[in-house]
Amino acid sequence: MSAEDKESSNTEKPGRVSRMPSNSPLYEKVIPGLLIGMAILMGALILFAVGILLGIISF
Amino acid sequence: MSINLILPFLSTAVMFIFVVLVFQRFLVRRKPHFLFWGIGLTMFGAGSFAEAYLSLAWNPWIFFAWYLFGAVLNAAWIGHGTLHLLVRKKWAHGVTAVLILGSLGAGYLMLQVMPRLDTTIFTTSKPISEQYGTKRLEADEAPPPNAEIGKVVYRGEEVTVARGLLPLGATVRLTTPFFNIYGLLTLVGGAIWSAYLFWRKRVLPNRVLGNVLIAAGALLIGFASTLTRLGYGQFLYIGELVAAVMMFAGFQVAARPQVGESALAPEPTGD
Repeated sequence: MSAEDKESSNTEKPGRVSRMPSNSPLYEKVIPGLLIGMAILMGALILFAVGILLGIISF
Repeated sequence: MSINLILPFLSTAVMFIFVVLVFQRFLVRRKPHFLFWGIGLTMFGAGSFAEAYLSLAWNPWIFFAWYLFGAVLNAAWIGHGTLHLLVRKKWAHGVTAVLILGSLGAGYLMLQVMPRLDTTIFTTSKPISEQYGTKRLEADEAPPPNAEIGKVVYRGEEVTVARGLLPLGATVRLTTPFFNIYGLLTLVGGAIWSAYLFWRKRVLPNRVLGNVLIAAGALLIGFASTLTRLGYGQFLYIGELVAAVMMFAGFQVAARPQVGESALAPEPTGD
């Protein structure tokens, strides 16, 4: 639910927006890794669903 | 009472609170994405409740709700809410029309198949996700674990099947991948994309974390359902509960005003 994101990011004024902590392992390493990993998993699930749709995978 | 009987009811309770909060936001802000999220989450909750009910007793209309809302439609409707934030309104409205027509079509197909359900195989000892579909078995194919094997006539030919509630070749099952691919792309893809945008700009860490939790929760439920259908149903109920909690937590974290942000700008995160 990316959601309100775009909407509210348009309304936020510079200087009022909270920023990510610098040099945080969570934001420097973990989050990018999770995003890449989840994108790969999503791609795998979509390929699986397409395989079912095309009758390549029996489900 | 077994833990597997309690978990789906807990998932339903989490979803109920989630739905109430989302509809409250819709009533305050009147934004269409809250409406679609609310509808999709209601379907998710209905699916969880139906699953819980079917672990105790059989009812054909509860099964109808479980399959239509829980297995076919909910991800697409939740994801459609996210689409409203990512694309232009005229595109979103066009897709809304397709989604509504597609959902009505799936409902019609489900109604058509209801008189043909093979209810003799129903058991409360297995999750409904393990017994809804009839699967054709090829000559050398091993049947899924605990499956009931039978023979049916399909397109004029006698074939061996792992029996399920829905008849072999039920058209409504063909609609499921379409809705779920759309739901996966918009719900998971939308959350990943939003998290990436905020991460790249180095702002609003709560939105980054919130969207990561939402994407992870949605993926978890996709994997739990897939594993169940492959014969590993022991992960389903706990997977659903963890997924519901993660998505709810993600929504709350993403919507929470940041320290400092609330003092300086009460509006931004809206809500």
